[in-house]
Amino acid sequence: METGVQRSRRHDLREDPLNTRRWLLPSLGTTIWVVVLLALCLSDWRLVMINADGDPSLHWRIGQWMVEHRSVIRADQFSHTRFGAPLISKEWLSEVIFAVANDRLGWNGAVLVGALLIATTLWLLYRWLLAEGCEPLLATGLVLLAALASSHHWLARPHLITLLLTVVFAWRLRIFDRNPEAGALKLLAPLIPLMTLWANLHGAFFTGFVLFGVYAADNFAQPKKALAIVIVGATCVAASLINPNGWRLHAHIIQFLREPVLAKFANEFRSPNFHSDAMRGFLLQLLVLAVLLVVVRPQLRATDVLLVSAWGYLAFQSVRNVPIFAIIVTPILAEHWQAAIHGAGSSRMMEWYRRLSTNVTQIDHSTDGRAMVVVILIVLLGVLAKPPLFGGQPIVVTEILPDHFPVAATRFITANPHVVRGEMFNDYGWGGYLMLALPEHKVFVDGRNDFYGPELIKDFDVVNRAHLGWEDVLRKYRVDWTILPRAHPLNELLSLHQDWSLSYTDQVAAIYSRRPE
Amino acid sequence: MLQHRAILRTEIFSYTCPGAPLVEMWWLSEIVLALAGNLLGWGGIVLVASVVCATIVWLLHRQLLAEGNELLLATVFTLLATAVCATHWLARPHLATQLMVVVFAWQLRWFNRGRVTPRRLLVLLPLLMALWANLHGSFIIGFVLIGIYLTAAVVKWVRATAEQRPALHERMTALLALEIACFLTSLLNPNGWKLLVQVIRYTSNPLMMGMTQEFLPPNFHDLGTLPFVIVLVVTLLMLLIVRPRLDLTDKLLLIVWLVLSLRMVRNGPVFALVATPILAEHWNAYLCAAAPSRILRRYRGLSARLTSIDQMAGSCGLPALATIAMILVLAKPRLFGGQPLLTTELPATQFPVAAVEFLRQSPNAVHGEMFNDYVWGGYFTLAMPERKVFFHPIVLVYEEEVIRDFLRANNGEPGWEDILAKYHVNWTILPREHRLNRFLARRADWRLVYSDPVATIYGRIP
Repeated sequence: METGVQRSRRHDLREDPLNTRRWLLPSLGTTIWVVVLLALCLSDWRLVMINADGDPSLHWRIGQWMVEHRSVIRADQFSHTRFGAPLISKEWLSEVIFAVANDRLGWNGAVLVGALLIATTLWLLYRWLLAEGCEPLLATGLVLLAALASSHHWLARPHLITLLLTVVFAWRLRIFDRNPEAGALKLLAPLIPLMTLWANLHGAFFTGFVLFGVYAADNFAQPKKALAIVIVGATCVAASLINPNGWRLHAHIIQFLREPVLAKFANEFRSPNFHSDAMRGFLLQLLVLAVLLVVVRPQLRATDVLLVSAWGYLAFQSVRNVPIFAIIVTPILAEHWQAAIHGAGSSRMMEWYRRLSTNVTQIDHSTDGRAMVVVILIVLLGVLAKPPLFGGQPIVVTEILPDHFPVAATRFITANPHVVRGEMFNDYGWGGYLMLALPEHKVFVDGRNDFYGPELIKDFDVVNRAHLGWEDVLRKYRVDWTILPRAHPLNELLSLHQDWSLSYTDQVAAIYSRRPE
Repeated sequence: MLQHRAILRTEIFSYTCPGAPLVEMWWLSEIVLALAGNLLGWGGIVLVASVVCATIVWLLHRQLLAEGNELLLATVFTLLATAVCATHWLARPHLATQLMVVVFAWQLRWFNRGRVTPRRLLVLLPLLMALWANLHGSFIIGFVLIGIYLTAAVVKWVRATAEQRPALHERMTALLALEIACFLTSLLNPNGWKLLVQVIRYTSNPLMMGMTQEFLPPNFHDLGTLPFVIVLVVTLLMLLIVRPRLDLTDKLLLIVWLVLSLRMVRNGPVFALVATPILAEHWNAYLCAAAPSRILRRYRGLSARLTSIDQMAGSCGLPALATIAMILVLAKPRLFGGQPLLTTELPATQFPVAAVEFLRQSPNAVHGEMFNDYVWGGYFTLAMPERKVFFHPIVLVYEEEVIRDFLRANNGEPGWEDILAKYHVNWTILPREHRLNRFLARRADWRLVYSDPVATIYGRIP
């Protein structure tokens, strides 16, 4: 029997044999991809993506070094506190990709790579929901909700790879869990090379192991299925060893996660602050989940119970796990809300929703928009890459904000190199930017707190908080100048100290130098 | 207030806002605690707080048992809620709120189930609300609880058939009358409607809220949050495994208090107290209906044995004896003389006890106004009543400008000296580690007056 959608398609083909409308008009999924990509690349969000902290600069600088030296970085080159110490880069391949993009397009390159990853993650999530039988209207709503919940972490950094690969791994495992006849080899084997890629792209590849673990634990009663998951999971673990640091990468990550001082120091490892606007999306998604559980009362599979509980707990622990929770929980929400909508009795509101949903589905099935995607990508690339491609002034300028980072101060140092000498003490959040903007100087600390280790981070904290013993720490690391936010308490202390003098100040930063003895 | 036999209506403890109008949000609790403190010292205050805490636990346990839950399950769930509440068991007026939440939640729940008559509800809860409004500023939680029941009743009434409507209408009307009555009785306080305005002003001011740790969201890295996490997990597992058909009121209670407890750590105990009867009811039903297994048989056997032992025990004798014994122990020096059996004092490693003693011995060591640590402000109002503090934890008496100035100076931000000069600060008393001490040590116009491992005093050189 012919469905409404098929009838609509047949009608379209009769009217337009070349099917141009289908190729040009974007489907809902394509629209999500295009809108997210354009919004991130062209709106002020592009500035947020590179200015939220110093890590985008840090990754560019490290990637730049690897591209210049044509080798993976294995010893620190950027700090004076741990210069030459063995370095395990958790995301060397991402850093190379970001550096190549940035070297070609400036900061627009990092924004483009980041936006492509985010848009593709959301598009894949949407495709996943459709593939499981969710109506396009509901799927769009839930994907937008997931986007809202995860948007606080949309920064041009390697962790975006983890979001994308989490969708791929969770999707594949879910299909296998529900349809084991499809074959472990066909469904799960592609995850093995992807795990190798993941282990080289970002340190949170352990997320993949957790997903395998949850599905294996749930299928404990079905040995054949559980064995398939365990074998592929173990192979993925082995595949993850194919990286420049082998097993040391894994040991390094485990050590980092077990070190509370380091984990607490990074903002993204803190518990979510539900007073902050950035957490509204997460709170809303929790509310949708809570309403589902208390109103619809779905019979959840044990895997889904484990996934919701485990990732819910991890999201409450660390704000960086919120996007992963948002991705994992969305298909569960979609499945049960879809069933609830199907099973709901007829009311005026439900009838209105069903009519709207049917119309949206029909329109969605008659559209595709791949041609438009290609056109938009070419135009966007042209806009972002105008100066290197065609010369002249850039159309879209993406730069580090001078009111967030010490842009004027670094220009002053570059113009007056003799103003400072010796080693610096810098703000934690500015470390990555200083690595990039002042390559001739070595930083005290930057966003790689896993590399610096607890002892150095504690020393840094003593000075940063102007605790007792701050002078001893500065002497220990032979610090002769500081570059800190203007209102930083250490500046006040240095201004009162006879051994130090103010070398530079503006609205953002102040530089103090030790007087020569 | 006891000394002057009057309610405190103006700020008298700090010099930064002298004579500012003060709307006391917990005057009655302060009188009760002060009486206990005057009679039995710190031990008296701890005794009052302990009696309230124990009563909260006892009431919750009684409610769970009265609702037909098995003794073992009721005890475990009560202990779980106790663990959540205990993170906030400090000898302060907010304990009155925990107590009132248990009573309000219990009575409203039973009214919803037809076990409490509208008349009893309309007499008991407005009277308790009048008490609550004088004991602690969080009495608006009572309005929220009644509001949830009222909202659910309205929704049920809208959805109901013609036959069901009269009964629901009666319930809705009673709850509306209760909300109004509670609102009116909450005005029976020394400040009338101004108290409500003050509470709203306080809870809607992010600057003031940000000053208080308990208004911040829970930190899930903190071990103290673990009991709250366990309650969340038990709730989640109930929804996922037991899948009970929850009453609309229970759904609203769980969702509203879950959101509020995620926003503020101080709402965690309220969530636990409100959610525990719901959790106990459905877990109990689930365990009763579950197919027997070895673990379940053992659980039922243990539960039956405990129940039979419990039935043999008396109910009031032991608690009364324990309370009397505690009073005698605490009042021993006053009643019988000699050394106290149990000493409860502020720890000299956390509060500047020695520094205050030094100032008492050498009153001329410092002159003029002080700049003090935020947490120590309350202690100074008690330990050095002859001196006015810069800042104490009752932040709502301060103008926003004073709060901002305090924070800037306290953080050592640029302009800290101007702020000290603006308020004519001539000496500081701060924790030894405080960064302002390092600033002052470098200043030629300040000198170290006193220092010990806890506190440091700097004085301005005339």
